[in-house]
Amino acid sequence: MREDWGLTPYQTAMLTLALVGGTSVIVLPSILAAYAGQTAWLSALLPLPAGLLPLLIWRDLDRRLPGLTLLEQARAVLGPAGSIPVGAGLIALFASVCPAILRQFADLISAEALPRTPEIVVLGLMMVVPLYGVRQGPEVVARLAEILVPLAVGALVILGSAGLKDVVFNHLRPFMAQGPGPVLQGSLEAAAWYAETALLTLLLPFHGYGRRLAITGAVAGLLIAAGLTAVTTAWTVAVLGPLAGRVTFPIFQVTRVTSVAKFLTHLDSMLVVAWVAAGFVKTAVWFYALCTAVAATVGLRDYRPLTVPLAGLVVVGAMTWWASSAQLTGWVFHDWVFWGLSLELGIPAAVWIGALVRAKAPRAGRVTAP
Amino acid sequence: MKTGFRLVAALCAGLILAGCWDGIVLTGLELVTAAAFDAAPAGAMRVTLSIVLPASLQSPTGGGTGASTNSPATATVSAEGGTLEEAVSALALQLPGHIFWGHTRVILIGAGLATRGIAPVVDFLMRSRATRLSTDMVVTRGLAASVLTASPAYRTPGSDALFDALRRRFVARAPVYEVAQSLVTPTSGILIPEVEVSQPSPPAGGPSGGGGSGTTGSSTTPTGFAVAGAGAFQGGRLRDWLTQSQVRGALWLLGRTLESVVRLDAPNGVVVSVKLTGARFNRDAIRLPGGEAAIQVQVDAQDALTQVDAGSPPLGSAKYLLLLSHLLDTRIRQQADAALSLARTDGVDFLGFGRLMAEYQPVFWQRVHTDWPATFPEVPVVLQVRSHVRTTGNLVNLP
Amino acid sequence: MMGVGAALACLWLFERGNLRRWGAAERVAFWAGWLLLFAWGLAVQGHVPLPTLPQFTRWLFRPLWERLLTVQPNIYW
Repeated sequence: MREDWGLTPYQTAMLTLALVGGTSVIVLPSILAAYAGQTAWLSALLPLPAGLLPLLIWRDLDRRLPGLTLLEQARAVLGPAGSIPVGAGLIALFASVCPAILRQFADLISAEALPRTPEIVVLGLMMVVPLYGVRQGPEVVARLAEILVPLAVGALVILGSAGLKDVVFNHLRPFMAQGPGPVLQGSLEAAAWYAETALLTLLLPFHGYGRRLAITGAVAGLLIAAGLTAVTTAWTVAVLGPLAGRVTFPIFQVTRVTSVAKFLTHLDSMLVVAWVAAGFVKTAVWFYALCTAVAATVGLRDYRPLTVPLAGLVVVGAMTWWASSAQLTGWVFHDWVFWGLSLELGIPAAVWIGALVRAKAPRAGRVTAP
Repeated sequence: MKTGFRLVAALCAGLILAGCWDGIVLTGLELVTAAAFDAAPAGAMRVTLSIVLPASLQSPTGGGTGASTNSPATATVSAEGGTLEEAVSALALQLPGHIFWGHTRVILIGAGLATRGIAPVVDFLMRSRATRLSTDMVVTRGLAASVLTASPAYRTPGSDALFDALRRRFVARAPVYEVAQSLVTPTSGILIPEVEVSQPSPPAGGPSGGGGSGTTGSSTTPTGFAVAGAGAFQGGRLRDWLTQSQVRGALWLLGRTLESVVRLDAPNGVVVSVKLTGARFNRDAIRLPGGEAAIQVQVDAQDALTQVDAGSPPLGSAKYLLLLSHLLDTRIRQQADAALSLARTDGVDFLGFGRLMAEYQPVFWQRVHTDWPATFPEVPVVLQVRSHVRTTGNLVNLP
Repeated sequence: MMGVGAALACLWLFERGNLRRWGAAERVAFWAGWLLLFAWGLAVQGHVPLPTLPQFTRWLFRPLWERLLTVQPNIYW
């Protein structure tokens, strides 16, 4: 179904920033530092092409089949039967990402703010806002992003500049002493994050100001997210040095170091507040993608009947799939890289190749929207 | 109606999200201002906490009418346990409220535990949620707990006095996270400042100042403490002690500013005091012309002449100030050499030279990092000192 | 079981207005989603060993990350 509104380029940028940067800023720095140490910030910048690829594919697909989401394009190109694997792949991607995001934020809240609250309560409450937002439609999610994401980024920047005196730039030396291997390993991890822009193939068709501006907004959001991740990584390594790869949620450990004056400390709680707000947006965007992907694959006109049960399923998945936060970290560290990358890049590429083949085929002619 | 329901639901959610479910009110917290960790027999640990008594705390600007000046601002509690957490749990049983570490200002380590290893303490502080990672760590030669019972006349609580002493830039500081960094890298050492308890000397108050204001009784407890020197740690274990002068020398080599006053004995019986006002440092690892890797430290110090003690030096002459600057260069070099030779004989790299090698000579470092403690004493150190006596204060010459 | 019944009653009340608006496919999807959720919830409660997604991906990618993503010790700190 179509909504009678259009994403502004700014909303697109903020949505992209949230859906990539929401967790990459809090989780990636320690992963990158564990691999690449002093050069970790480079690992945050190298994989940018992985994030641009889905956007480029969408741009070309939208030229051929304008105004359709990836699933509708798949149906047009590959036929109803051919679109089922595509839908299943997308559902598998979203169904794995949603609980992982939710669990990451719940772990963050448990670690930093509410250590005694039962996990199911934190998970459930973390799901309530995204659920409500998604039931109201993508416009509400976009407006949520518009307001909350700049707040979170602003809090990060303010706290970062407050901690400048603790930065030891020498911790960023030597450059690439271990050779390119560890940097590339780190890049592979970051690539799986940046390629999350594949989700935009479901959202960008709602653009309100033309394809060109939609792409510009998305690329801007991706660049900000990657830049923020790189700066946060460099900042973490410059403050924590060898500890950067050994702590959980490194930017919060950095704020534990920072004190603005003798009395103004514990700034980490401020950052938790701001970043959990961004977490709501990230969860909402992915949850919206999950609901629409399931609805489109099953063939529903409206995704709303699915929202409440799917939210419950996401919470149960987040609770039971990973026995401990260490297991979740391990999964993100090892499995998510390949699982995420193959689906995020593979599915749009498959649809695109299908469209290319159809365009080349003499008898089929140009495909049209159903 | 529907809006009202939603509003109420949102407010309820807000209450839960804000953590008011099992909320702990402020008065139910035992605020730790300082914690002392000592080794107990048979590998056990003794933890001593200095807990704030909020009722006895006075605002310095007055206004408080009740609060008698004689009641102490903090209480000291102590417990022993097989591990750190066991000791803390034992403390929790002694205290009515919930132990809150968020306001801890100083962590004290006793000599016994320092020799045994401080890794458990650092692990606890890093892992815990409430502790600040910038909290200062200090070592004591005796029991760390004895510092917490010291009650200096000039400031209450005692931990505040210690914290403020550390905040002035007269000493090296070792925040928790930097100690943790040194634990992670086995090749590098770290200096942790040493606090010395001053025993009461019968008449004439030990710590200078204060005049004759009656210290609140208790003549048997230590009256105060001072930051003395530092302990050199490697791998979380105390390896040697440094005197205050050796610490100064080490700080020159570490590239850290330190406010200090130096006495200079100039020709013709002139004695002057010079105060360091600022310094710039440049540290790196270089290749000597022969191809040998070396550490290079450049010090650019700016100083002010603060006192003439004897003689009448021609302070109006720029040439003479240059002479004083050269004398100061020699003094700085001597201090640095003293610290360097201690590091070399101990084989403890508390000067961060290994890290410099890794930064600037990674190829050399790759070859030597495995036996750095053995290699480090042989690495040449090029120290270049340039100090400038910039000002002589408000006076040129008195006599 | 009473809890499950109560929950079902609640969600029926909750979605009654919507259910009337939805078509047949939506209604089926709605009930199927809830059934799946309850089945899964009961299975988790009853400690039924269900295969999980992380198990699947570990089985799928283990050889790959063991070869590619082993952290090299960093000697330069």
